[in-house]
Amino acid sequence: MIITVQIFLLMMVLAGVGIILFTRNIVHAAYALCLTLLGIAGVYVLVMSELLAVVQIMLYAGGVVILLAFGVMMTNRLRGEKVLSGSNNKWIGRIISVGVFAGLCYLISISPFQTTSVEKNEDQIAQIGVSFLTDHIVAFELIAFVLLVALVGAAYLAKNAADE
Amino acid sequence: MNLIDQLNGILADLQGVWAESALMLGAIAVLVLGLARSGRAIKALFLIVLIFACYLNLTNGLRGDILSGSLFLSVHTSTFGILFLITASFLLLFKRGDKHSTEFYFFILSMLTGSLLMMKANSLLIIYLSIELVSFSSYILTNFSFKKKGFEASIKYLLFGAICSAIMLFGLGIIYGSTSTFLVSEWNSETFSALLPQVGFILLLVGIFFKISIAPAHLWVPATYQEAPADATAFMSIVPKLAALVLLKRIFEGQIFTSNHWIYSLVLGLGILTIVAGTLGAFRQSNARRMISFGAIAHSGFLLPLTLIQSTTASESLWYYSVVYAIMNMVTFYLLDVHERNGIVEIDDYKQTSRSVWIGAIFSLILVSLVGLPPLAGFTAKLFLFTTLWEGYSLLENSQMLWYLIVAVIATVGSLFFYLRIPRAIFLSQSTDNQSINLNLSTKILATLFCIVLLLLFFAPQLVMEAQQLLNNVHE
Amino acid sequence: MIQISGFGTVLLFIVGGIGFLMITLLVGKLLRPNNPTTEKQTTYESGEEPSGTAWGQFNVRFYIVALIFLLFEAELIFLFPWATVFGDEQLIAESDGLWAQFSMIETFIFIGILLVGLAYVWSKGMLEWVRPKPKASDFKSRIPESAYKDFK
Repeated sequence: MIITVQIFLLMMVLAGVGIILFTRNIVHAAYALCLTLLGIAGVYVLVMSELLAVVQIMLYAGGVVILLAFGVMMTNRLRGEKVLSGSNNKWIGRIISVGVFAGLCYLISISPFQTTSVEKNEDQIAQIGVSFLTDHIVAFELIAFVLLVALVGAAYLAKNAADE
Repeated sequence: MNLIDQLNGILADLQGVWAESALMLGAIAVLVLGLARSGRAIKALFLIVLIFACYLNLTNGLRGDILSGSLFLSVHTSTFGILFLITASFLLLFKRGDKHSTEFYFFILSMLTGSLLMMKANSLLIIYLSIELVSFSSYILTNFSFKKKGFEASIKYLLFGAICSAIMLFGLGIIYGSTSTFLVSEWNSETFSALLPQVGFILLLVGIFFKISIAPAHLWVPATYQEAPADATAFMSIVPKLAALVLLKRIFEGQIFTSNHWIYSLVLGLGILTIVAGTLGAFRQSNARRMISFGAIAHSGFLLPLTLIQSTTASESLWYYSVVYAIMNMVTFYLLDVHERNGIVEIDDYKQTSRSVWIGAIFSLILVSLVGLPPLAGFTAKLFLFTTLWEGYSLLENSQMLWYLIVAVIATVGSLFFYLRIPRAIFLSQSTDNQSINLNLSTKILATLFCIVLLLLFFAPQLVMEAQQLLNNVHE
Repeated sequence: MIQISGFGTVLLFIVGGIGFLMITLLVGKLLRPNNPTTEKQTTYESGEEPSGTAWGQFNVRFYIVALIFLLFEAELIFLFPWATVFGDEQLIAESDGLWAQFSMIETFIFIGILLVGLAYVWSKGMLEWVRPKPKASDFKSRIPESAYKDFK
């Protein structure tokens, strides 16, 4: 049963990645990204990491992809034609990316990765909550500030772009 | 651990982050005040925030791991913190119109917060978040001229930075996956014995090197430094770079690699590459600011080995070099800004300025200090650097240090030829259309004062070391 | 015996939804007659001729609204774990009530920082809807105003 789900998720992720790699239409790539992100959310569920799965669906599949789509629709060169992306240095790019991918796969396969057996942990989200408020208090407050800077920056640039 | 003890521990440790909290609150206050006022009021608030943060930083007596290991405080973090805050206060000397002032000081304060946290970071989470905070602010400040070229530089910087940050995040993931700890202080010589964590470490270095502008992650520097407003450039070329260097020093202090480890050699090799790239790149520039930015890249290369050698000499020379570098870069960009306001942008344009002898002489002296010639503090900084490298060579028996030393000396001599193109344009040109540029008296006095400080630090370098001791012990 | 967790049910719904869609589309494809004509393939069969494409350029404000949405969603994510523990009686008892103060203050700071961003964006007018500005025409009619009165 679980292997069927795994294969299903793998297909979902790979289909998304495949479309992103080979389409030249940026909007299609954004929707395909959504598929990939949902597949990864499924993987998180399989490894019992429920919070991450929810984050993946809400933030990435729900938010980032919409933002990407808006970004594409905002671009200037859109009037009357599709947004197509070009590609340069094709062969060097292919060789480097395949090389890096193969190298990392090999490394991870031979390395003693710290693995823990996947167990259902009922208190997982509560534990994350406690550690946010105690161990990672600086990170917790810093995240809010980073988000504030991103918001103010984007709004300010957009306002000045709109005024001109 | 007992929850109540942990909470009380956090309350006791909060003292260590008061300065950052003050800066964060100050940034928000600037933003809120900016809705009602602009100009003077904002600048005054900015200065008050800096002074207050300085006070909090000085009175903080905590050292070591705090807040469950999120941050690590040391002599360096407290003294460099003061250096950054003072550097930020010098930004008020630059001429800045009211139009973009609120957001400008907001982003400067947020960059400052990020830099202070970056050099104190002990947890991988904080490393990533603080580098992102600094980067976000830098991307936006690059575009603060709101011209097409500034936008282009900003978007290039953003794309380059996004890729570096993604690579670093992947590296952090690999390190966490193979060590299952977030804390840098828990690393030891065993941590990186396998190949996978070593690769993760290299990927982490990509993100840090991007901030220090070590080759090949230096490509964003020339366009960014050229197009950003001069005050933002001065700040960006000093504070995030030094903060990342302190972080790097802290990481290597853990003795995680022996001096003949391949990562060690790789970092040294990249440092040499940086010096070569910066020096060679500067020769071909016709724009004054672009030339200085390549010089700044070379300076990153000079500073890098000081983080790798663990000795008192290395720490002292890092501190001395940083202080002098901060002063030199601040005044260089200040003078570049003054000239640019008079329409003098390219190196050849400086031929027109031969009538303003006084400021020309001061500018030449500053550039001589950037080269590293006596009788200015830049020379002493280089001298300390060469001593440290020689010590590193004889102590660690690492022949690469010797190569580093040789390249550094050659690059120092080479830099003479490009830095002195501006003085040559000012004094040795036969240009006919001389026009005296209008500089007010305060500019001249200010530049002269900086120059005197650089002279003073040459004759009494121990002042800088004593200042470090003093700043570190104020809280007692 | 296969156990189906809560997420398993969700997965079944997803698979079922996709399946239903596929099957209905497939059945429709098989049953319907296929006879395209030029008129049928135009956007409006009523005869309205569309000009340009539907791919217009968006105003940048949409992007800002989407960004604000995303940032507050990120904030929401961080509040989930907090919400499960902030009123935990056992934790509060363990720490003599310190935990309650702690969790509330920290989270109010967290939310407060982002609220400043919202206030900033709001007061800068980025949230106002884009309205077309009607232009007053300088066309002067040759028929005098009084002429209209005669028709009443």
